Amino acid sequence: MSKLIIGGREFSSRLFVGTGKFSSNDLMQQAILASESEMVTVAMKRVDMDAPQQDDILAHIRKESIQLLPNTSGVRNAEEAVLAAQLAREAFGTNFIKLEIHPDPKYLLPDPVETLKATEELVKMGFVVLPYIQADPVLCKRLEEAGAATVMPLGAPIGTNKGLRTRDLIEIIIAESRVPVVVDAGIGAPSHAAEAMEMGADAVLVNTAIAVAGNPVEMAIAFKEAVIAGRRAYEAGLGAQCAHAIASSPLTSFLD
Amino acid sequence: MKVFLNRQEICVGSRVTLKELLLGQSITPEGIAVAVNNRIISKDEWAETFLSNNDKVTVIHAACGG
Repeated sequence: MSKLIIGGREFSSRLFVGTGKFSSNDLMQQAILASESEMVTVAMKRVDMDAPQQDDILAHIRKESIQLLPNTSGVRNAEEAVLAAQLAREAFGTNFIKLEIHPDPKYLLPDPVETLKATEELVKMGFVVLPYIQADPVLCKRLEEAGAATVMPLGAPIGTNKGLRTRDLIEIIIAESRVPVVVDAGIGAPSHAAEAMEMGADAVLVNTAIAVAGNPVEMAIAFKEAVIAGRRAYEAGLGAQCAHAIASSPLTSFLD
Repeated sequence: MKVFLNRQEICVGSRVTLKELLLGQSITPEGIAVAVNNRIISKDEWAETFLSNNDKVTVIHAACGG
């Protein structure tokens, strides 16, 4: 299978994973290892002044093969996103940033105007910007022109596990994009991930579906296998669909 | 004078550096980032950054998230 390149770094795995919602940091670590993911997201929060030495989650994630992908979750506009990205660069020593600006807590849908503005600014500052966005093909082109390293259209709202509700739009995005397309959010089952990969998505980002599974480590393996299968199928070239039956066995009668 | 460290009010002496403030609160430099009044202060600037009355110091670190 071909390798994925983002921000000059080569990735063998096309499964990106998140670190939210696991019942413990140990379980999170086991699931990440089992997923064999090389791109792992982290969020940021203020240090609790009453317990400044609390468990450092980075210790559970840091590994040579893993690229940390800090996100800007919690910001409400481009200005805050730029500050958050700078904080992430200082704290984690990486230029990679998952840009997410979703001011409305009910649906967590990304603000396209602020996202484009922040992307333009962050690219100038040398960041490798992976913007989380609505599955909007026009916006994707604008982000690409602004220098985004990828586009990350949503399949369905964050944490809903509903799958590729935006499938038709993601198809257009994949067809038109010159930067890698990472389907983010809403992927709730390995079959959803495989579907995105078969369509030609370059990677998928999965968090909730692994973290809240009955057995997160097994689910991480299931997603890993689904992503590999989906990508392999895409590269192999899927057969065309047809409205009527086409026999796969000879129809010449051999019984008289 | 007083400064705000992650929104918590703290009384400090009149010539205190960012480094002194943070060390006094048992905050170590690994895996964190600091901003004073929304301006990032890199770790090598902590020792020469003197705080002013009512400065807002923000200290962040990693959290779980997708």
